[in-house]
Amino acid sequence: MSQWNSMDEVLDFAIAREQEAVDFYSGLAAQAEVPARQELLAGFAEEERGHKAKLLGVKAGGGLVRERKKVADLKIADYLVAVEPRPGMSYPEILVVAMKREKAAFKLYTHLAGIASDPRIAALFLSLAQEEAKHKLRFEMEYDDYLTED
Amino acid sequence: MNEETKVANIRFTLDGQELEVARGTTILEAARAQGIFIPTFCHNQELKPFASCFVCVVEIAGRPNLVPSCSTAVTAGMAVTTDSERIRRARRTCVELLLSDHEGDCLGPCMATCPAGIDIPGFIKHLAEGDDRAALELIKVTMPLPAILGRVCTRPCEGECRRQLVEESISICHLHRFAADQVAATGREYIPTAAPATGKRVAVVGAGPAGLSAAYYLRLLGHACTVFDMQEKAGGMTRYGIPSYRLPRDVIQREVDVIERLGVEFRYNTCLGKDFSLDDLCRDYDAVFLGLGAQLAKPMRIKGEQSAGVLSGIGFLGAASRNESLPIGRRVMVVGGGNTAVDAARTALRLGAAEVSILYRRTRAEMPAWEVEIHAAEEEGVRLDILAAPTGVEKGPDGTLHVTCIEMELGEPDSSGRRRPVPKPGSEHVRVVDNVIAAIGQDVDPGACDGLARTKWDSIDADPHTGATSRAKVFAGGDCVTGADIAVTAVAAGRRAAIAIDQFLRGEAVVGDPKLYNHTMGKIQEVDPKVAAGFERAERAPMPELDPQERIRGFSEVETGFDPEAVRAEAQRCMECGCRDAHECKLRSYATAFGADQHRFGGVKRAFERDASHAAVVYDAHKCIQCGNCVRITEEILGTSAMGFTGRGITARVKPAMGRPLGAVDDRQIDRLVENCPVGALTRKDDRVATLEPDFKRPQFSCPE
Ligand code: SF4
Ligand code: SF4
Ligand code: FES
Repeated sequence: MSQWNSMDEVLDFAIAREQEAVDFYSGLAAQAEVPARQELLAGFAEEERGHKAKLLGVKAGGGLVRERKKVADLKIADYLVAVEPRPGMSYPEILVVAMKREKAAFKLYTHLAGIASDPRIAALFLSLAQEEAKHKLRFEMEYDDYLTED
Repeated sequence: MNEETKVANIRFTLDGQELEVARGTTILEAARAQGIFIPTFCHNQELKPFASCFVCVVEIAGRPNLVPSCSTAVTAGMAVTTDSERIRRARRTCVELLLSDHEGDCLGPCMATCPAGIDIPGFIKHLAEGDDRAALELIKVTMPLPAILGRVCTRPCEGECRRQLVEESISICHLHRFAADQVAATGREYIPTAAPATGKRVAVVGAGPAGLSAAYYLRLLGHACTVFDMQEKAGGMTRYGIPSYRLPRDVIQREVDVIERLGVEFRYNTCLGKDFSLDDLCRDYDAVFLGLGAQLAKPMRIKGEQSAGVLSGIGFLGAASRNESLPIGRRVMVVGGGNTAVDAARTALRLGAAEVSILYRRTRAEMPAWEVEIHAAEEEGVRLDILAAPTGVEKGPDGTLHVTCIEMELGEPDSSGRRRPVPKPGSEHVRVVDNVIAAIGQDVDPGACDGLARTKWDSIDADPHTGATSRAKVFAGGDCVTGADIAVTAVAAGRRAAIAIDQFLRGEAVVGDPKLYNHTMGKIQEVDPKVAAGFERAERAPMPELDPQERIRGFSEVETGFDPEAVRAEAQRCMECGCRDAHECKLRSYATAFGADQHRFGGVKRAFERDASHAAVVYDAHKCIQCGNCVRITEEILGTSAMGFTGRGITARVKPAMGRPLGAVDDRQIDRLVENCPVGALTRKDDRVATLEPDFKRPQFSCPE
C-alpha cells in the first residue's frame, strides 16, 4: 500500500476504516451484558459513524483542516497491557481497547504520510492522523479520570 | 369588622362547596373555618388587614387577577378556588421574591454540608454545657458511628465552618469522637429504644458503614434485622481498609456492639453469591439492603503486574488487619495518591520496611489523600515521589522487583480545566524494590449483584434518595452504588435507605427522607465577613499525637484524643450558626411546600446586619421580610412606636423606630414582637439554633398553621 494515486483513494481507504470501527463497536455493543455498556458502545459506534460522515464531507469537496495545535498525548495507551476484545468487558477494559485502536490508526496514518510522495496526500494523512490522536485523547482522558486513586 | 356588618349571612362557593358565612367574613377566615390551608405572612388576626405580601392569593371566578384572601371579603354568589396550578405558581413566585432579598442560613453550614446531616451546632452546644450524653444522643439521630467517623471522616463540614472567618474551623470531627468515647468510658453506653416490633424482617448485606447504618435505623424503626458479612468481623472498609493506628479495633467493636444490643443479628463468614443468593434473601425477608462496598482493587494494567511481591493496597491492608503474616521486604513502593496509598505506606513502615516511598502521577497538591495523613506519613519517614508512574515490573534474578518508572509533567489545562499528567520523553528509569503496593482505587465487584441494573461502571443503579434498585424489595447504598467514596456518605445512604425501606414495608409511598428547604448564605468565600464580628479570636484545639518515632514501632492509636477541658473550650468557640426559627419559620415552610428556589431571582444580596443590643432578643435585619407585623403590633396594639418602616417600596426596611437600637425596646413588648415575626428576624437569645429531636423520628413536614 505504498503508492497512493489520488486524494479520493486515500479518503476511500480512511472511510472504509471508519466503517470497520463502526462495525467493531456495534458488534461489541450487541455482546455487552450490561445495558448501560450497550448504550456506551453504541455511542462509540455512533461517533465513528460521525467520523465517517466527516470524511465523506471532505471527499464531496469540503476540506479537512489540520489544526496547528498539537494534540496532547497522555501516553496511557502506550503503557497499559492490551485487552483482547470479548463480550462482557468492563468499562475500563473497553477504554483500553478503544484507545489502543485509535493509537494504531494514528500510527498507521502517520506512517502513510511519511511514505507518500505527493505532499498533498501526505498532508491529508497527517490530518487524518491528527483526528485519530484526538479520539485517543478522549479515551485516555476518560481513563485518567477513572484513576482517581482514592 | 364590627358586629353589625356581620349579621346577615351570604352564600358563596369555596372550592366547589356551597357555604353560608356572615357578611364581612374574609375569604381567608371562611377557608380556615373549613380547615382549608392558605399561606399567609403579613396577615395577623389581631391586626387590620395589610395585604402586602400576596402569598395568600386565591382565584375568584370571573376576575382576571388573583386576589389576596386575607383582605377580600366574601360577596354573595362568589366562586372561590384556593388551590390550582396558577395559584401555586403565584405563591411560589411570591416566596422566591422574598427569598431573593433574604440573607441567612436555616441550618448551620456545617450541618447542611455533613452528608449525614448531623445537628452539629446542637451537639456542640451540649458539649459546651458539659452534657456529653445529650451530645451523643443528638448525633445518633442521624449518624450511628460517631467514634468511628470521629477518627476517619474527611470532615467536609469543617471546610464550610464559619469560624474560619474568625481564625480556624471548629474541630467538629474530633468533638463527636469525644462525645462517643466519653459516654463509652462511663460504662453506660447509649442504647436507644426501638419502636414496637413491626413483624417485618430485613436482610442487610455488608457490615460496613452503609450496612451498619441501615441496620441501626431499621431496627429503631421496629423491624427485625439480620446483617450478613463475608468477613469474620463487622466494620467493612473501616476495619479491613483502615489501619488500627488510625482506628483502633475496639472502637469499631464498641459501636457494632451497640447495634447488636439493639437486637440486630450478625452472621459472619457468609458471602452473597457464594453461600446464598439474592433470590434466597428476597424469598426469606420482607426487604433487602445491599451495602456491598467497592471491594475490587483497580489493576495497574502494566506489564509484570502479576509478579510475586506486587500487592494491592486493599489486599495488603486487609491482610494486615487480619494479622496474617506478611512477607514485606525492606524497600516498598506504594503506587497511588489516595488515603489507601498513605495507609499502606504507613502500615508497611510499621511492619518493618525500612524504605517506603509513595509514587504519584500528579503533584502533592492533587493527592486525594488527606493532608494531615500525608504530613503524618512524611513525619514517619515515608518519601513522596510525585510526578512519577510505573510502566512495567520485572522480577530480578535475586527476587527483587525492577520497576520501570517514567517522570511526568502536568500538561496544558484541557477543556475541563484539568492539567493532566504527561510523561516526559526519555525519562524512563528503573528502580529496585522488594514490594510494589498498587493502591489506585477500588471498583465495585460486578459478580455480587447479579440480576440488578448496573451502571457502565458496574456499580448498582439505585435511586440516590431512596436506594431503590431495579428489583422490587431490594435497596442499595454506599460504595456499591456511588463507587469508592468517603465513609460518611455511605453512612448517610444507609440511613436514607432505612427510611425508604420503612416506607416500603408500611405500604407508604417510597420517597426517602423528606428534605426541607434550606436557605444559605453560600459557600464560605461568599459569606459576608461581618458574620464574624464580635467573636474574639481563640485558637483551635490541637489534637494530641504520639511522637513519630514512638508510633512507627507499633499500631497504637496516633491521635490520642482531647481531654474534657480542651473540649469545653473548643465547643465554646462554636458560633452557633443556623436559625433559631428554622422549625417554625413560615418562609422556610412555604419554600418547602412550593418547591421554591433561592436563586430564581438573582439580585444583590442583602447585607448582614445584626442588632444584639437587647438583653434577650436579637434582630437580624438581613432576615426581615417586611411583613410589618412588628410595626403594626407596636402601633395598633401596644400604642407605641417601637418598630417602624424606613424607606419605601422594595427598599423599605423595618428598624427599631427613630434610629434607636433594639435594646431600647421595652421588655414588656419585646416578646409580642418575637412571637409574631413569621421568620427568624426577631429571635430570643436563649433559644437554640435549629436542633433535631433527641430520639430518632422521621422528620415530618407540616405547615405551621
Ligand atoms: S461555627 Fe459552629 S455552627 Fe458555625 S459552622 Fe462552625 S461548627 Fe457549625
Ligand atoms: S422583623 Fe418585623 S417586619 Fe421583619 S419579618 Fe419580623 S415581624 Fe416582619
Ligand atoms: S397579603 Fe395576605 S397574608 Fe400577606
